Parts: sequence; structure tokens; C-alpha cells
Amino acid sequence: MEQYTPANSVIYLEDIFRVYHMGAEEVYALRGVTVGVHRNEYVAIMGPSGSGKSTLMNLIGCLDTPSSGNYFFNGANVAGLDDNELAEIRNKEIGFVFQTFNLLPRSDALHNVELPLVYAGIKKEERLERAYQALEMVGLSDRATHKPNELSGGQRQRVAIARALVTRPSILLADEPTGNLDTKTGEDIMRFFEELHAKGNTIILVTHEEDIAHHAHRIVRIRDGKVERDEVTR
Amino acid sequence: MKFIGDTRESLSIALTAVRANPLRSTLTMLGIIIGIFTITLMGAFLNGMDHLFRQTASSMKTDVYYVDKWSWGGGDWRLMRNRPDIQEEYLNQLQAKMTTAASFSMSIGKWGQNVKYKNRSVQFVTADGVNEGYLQTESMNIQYGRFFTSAELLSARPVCVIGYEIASKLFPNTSPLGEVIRVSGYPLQVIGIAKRVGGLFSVFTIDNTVVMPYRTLQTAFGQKHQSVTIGVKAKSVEHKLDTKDELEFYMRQIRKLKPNDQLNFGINNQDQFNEQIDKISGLLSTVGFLITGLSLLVGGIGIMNIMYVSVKERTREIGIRKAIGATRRSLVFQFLYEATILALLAGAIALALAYPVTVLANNLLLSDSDLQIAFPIAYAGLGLGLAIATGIIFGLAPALRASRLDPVDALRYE
Repeated sequence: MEQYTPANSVIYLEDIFRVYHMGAEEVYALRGVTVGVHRNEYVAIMGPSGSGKSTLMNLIGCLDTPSSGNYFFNGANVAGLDDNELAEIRNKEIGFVFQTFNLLPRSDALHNVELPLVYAGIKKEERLERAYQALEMVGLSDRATHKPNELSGGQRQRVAIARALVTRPSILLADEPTGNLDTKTGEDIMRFFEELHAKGNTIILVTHEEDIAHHAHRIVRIRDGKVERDEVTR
Repeated sequence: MKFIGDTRESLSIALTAVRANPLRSTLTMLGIIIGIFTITLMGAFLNGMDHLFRQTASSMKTDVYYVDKWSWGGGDWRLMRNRPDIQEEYLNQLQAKMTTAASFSMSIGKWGQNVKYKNRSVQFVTADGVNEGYLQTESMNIQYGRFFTSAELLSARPVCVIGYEIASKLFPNTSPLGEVIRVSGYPLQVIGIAKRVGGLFSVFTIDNTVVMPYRTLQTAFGQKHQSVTIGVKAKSVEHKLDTKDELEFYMRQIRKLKPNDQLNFGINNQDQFNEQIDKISGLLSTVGFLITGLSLLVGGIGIMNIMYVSVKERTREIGIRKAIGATRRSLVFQFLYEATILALLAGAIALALAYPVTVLANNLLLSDSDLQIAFPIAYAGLGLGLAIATGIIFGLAPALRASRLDPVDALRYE
């Protein structure tokens, strides 16, 4: 197995600390995490609630910045970037998939998928074409004009996946993507992730469910703000 | 352009916000609606008034100064009442001395007369006794008949020229020429009818006046203690102030006033009248802008409130947008845009209300009046501009709050 370095990884976290200040008290959510992910890896980050895995996910997703340590994204350190630069990385490099789907309720499927391209400053015709292609890829091109409340849970999550992939990001970051779905629909989504991985996508899956984590090819276990175990499973 | 793409969405969000809570939105927009409505109607009225004033003012000549016991510009009424009368002799004295005057006239006005013909009558008519200079200093035009001859003027013949209002009220169907009317009981034969002036103050213009020879008026109303009005027309309009100065100089001489004494007579001019009108319009627009300003302030605070509520309700949406790449700037724009659309919507409602009101007011209330109002495009534009400004100014604080939300907290918000 090749060693992880900032240069050969899509993401490389180096001795990351994240401290929250609760009044006078300091709460350590992460205490020196070092972890790398190669291109086209399929990694699950596992841990019980309170382990720090949500904090780690927020840092990987550039929604939060570390208190100390370095974070290399495609070789560039993003730990010290400002709000706008982080917004651009979230927009172009990271595709989020959430447990609660997080679609805009008033917008139809096509517009939800199109929105990241709006923030990327892409022209209308190209936006619509790419959004439509993304919907086609998740098998929902016939639902383009449906609002989220007119779609089933599995369909909503697939619209969310289309939105995550429409900017062709470096990583797909999925936070408990099956948490709000029944078992069968959850399995469908996990099968779809497997296909995406087979097509060359890099996937990071955050979950507390053992059987969901086992869909990934590598599991990074977090406990008390540290990497407890990092093993290749498939 | 990154934000143009959000136009339709912002509009639909703004409309959804209005539909979701019509009462709250209506109350919010009410301030702006009232503000823009006020400024538009005020504008319609000011435009109408302005037009009318100019129409009225054009019936008076600006290069004529009137020596009168009363000053038009206002002043202490009791002081002016105790001034000495303007005497007939002044006319000859001024005529002999003044070099910058083109012509002179002398007249006596009697207010509040009544005029009768058979069983018809008109109240509150002005009776003017005039001399031969009248046609030079006044802009009266004879439409039918003729003005007085020198013989009629000198011999106190019982003849008169009447204004349009009087003619149309006393003689709705027949010609007044040659008929004998009674001015406060005194019989006069109508030999001419003056052309209509129109305007807001037709009561004070030739339209509502009976003009007769100076001597005739004295015969009809008695001769004692009359203060006359002397009209002096300047030779040149450009140098009319020289004429005024000269007139004042000789009047001081006639009245034997010392250089520091206050004037005990008035020298009046159309310009004073215009100044008064300007003051009234100024006051009117000040009040209008004050009401508009206050309404917009109230409306703006309402917009700010509804936008704060909107930011709160859509915290999660803001988190989602941030997660997929919205910058602070784009979120500020989005919320400013929505605030502006709300304000513009209110402005559009105000104009939609103001338009039929101006048309109906004009057709129903003012149909018989000389005051005509029309929908004021310029003021409507100003109103929409103010609405936009209100939306931007009062939307800024909520928009900034939205843009500064922490994405992690916002995504977790239930």
C-alpha cells in the first residue's frame, strides 16, 4: 500500500486539532488527526456520536477550519483560506450528500441540481444541460420538474447525489446518506455509490452503522477525537 | 453574471413569502404603499396646481407695478388699514415726474358686489372703475363688443364690460350686449364681454369683474374717501426694477417720507403673487415628502422585520447554499434582491392604486374645475426609485446577517 503524502492524496489532513470554546472551558473535538485519501478511494469514516467524526467531516468539507494542523486539498494547504476561497472549494471540489437530503423545498429537481453551477458562474444553457445530464445519470430525468415533496426519499437522495456530482468535484462527501431511508432504498443508494466508485469517483462516507461502512473499501474509525483504527476492508 | 440567474427565483421567493402570510406582508408593505401613493398623488396635484397658477398668472402683467394702500406680500393688517389713502392727484404727479414708465392707469375696486339681470343674479363680484390707461396696464382682451370711448370715460356714462363668468351666468342663452344689468342696484348697459382667463382664482380675475368708467363708479357708489390703485407699466421689462425704484422714490416724495421711514403705501407686482404661490407649493411638497418619508421609514422597518423573519426561517437553506458554494456576497445579493422586490411590489401596488385615483378624481371631482390632474410619470418614477432605495437600505442588515451565518450551525438548524 502506497504511503499517503500531501502530494499524492486528494485530501491529506496532518495533525489536525479542533478546539471549541464553551465559555472558559476548552472542548477538544479532534486531537491530532492525520489521515489521507487517494484518488478513487472509497473510504468510510466511522465512529459513535461524540467521537468527533462530524467535526472531521465538516473540516474535510471545508465548512469549518481547524484550530491547528494542515489540510492539503489536491496538494494545496487550505487550512488558512478565507470564507470566499473556502466557498469556491466547496463549490468546485466537494459534493455533499446529507442524511436529510437538504434540497431546497421550493425549487424543482432540475433547479436544485443546477444551483451549484449558478454559484460557479456558468451560463444558463450549459447549466441546464449539465443539470439535466446529472439527473439522467441518477435515473431521474423524468422527474426534473418535480419539487422535493413530490419525490420519494430515495429519489430525493438521488437528486441530492446529482447535485453533488454536477460540478464534477474531486470528492463526494456523504454524511449518513441512508440514515433517513428504509433498508431497501438504503441498499439501492449504496449500490449506486458502488457504481460511482467504479466510474472513478472518490467517495468519503461518514456513518455510525457498521453494515453501511462495510460497503466502503477502507474504514477509518474515530474515537475521542483520534484515529483509532484505519483498515482496508475490501 | 452570477446573480442574474437568481432573478426569477428571488421573485418567486418574494411572492411565496407574500402568499404564505398575506396579512403580515400586506401590513409590511402598507407603509411603502402609503408612501409611494402619497408622493404620486401629491405630484399629480402639484403639477395641476403649477399649470393652473401659470395660467392665472399669465393674465397679469409682470412689468406693471401697482401703488396701493395694501401690500400684497402680507404684513400687519391693522397697520396697513391705518395708512393714508392713495389719492387721485398722485396719478398726475407721477405722470409728470417719472421717466421710466410707459403708461399709467388708475382704478378703484369694489369687492363683494352683486349683479342682477331680470331674475338671475351673481354674488361676490368685483366692480372696477377704470380710466383710459386700463387697457395698457391690464391684459384684458375684449371678446365681444368694445371697450369704452374717451367720451364715455369722461362723462360717467352708465356702461360696462363684464367678465366671462358673469356673462355666462346672467345670460346663459342670449347675448348680453346692449342689455342693462344692475350692479348693486345701479343700472349699467353691457357694451363688451372680456375674454375668459380661467384658472384657479377666477373669483379674483376679470372673469368675475364688472369694469366701468372711473367716474361712473364714483357716481354709483359715492365719491368720498376713496383709496385708488395706480398702475405703472415699465418701459422695459428687463429694467422694470428701475421703474419700481423710481416709483418708490417719487411716492416717498409725495408722501414726504424721510429716508429711514417705513413705506406707508404698497408697491405691488405679479412677482409677489408668484412668490406666495411658490411658498404654498413649497409647503405642500414639504408636507408630502414628510408623509412619504415617514411612511417609507415605517415600511422600511417592516421590510427589515419580514426579512429578519425570512432569514431565520431559511437558516437551513442558507446553510445548504453555503455548502454548495454560495459566497457571502451572493447571499447578500440574494436577500437584498428579495427585499427590493418586496418594496418594488409595494411600489407597484401604490402606483396601480394611484393611477385610477388620479383619473377618477379628474373626471368626477374636477370635471367642472380648471384644476386638471394627470398621472405624474416623473413622480411615479421617483416613487419607484424611493421604493428600491428603501428595500436596499432596510434589507441590508438582514442580508448581512444571512451572509455571516456559520454554515455548520446553519445546516444543523431545525
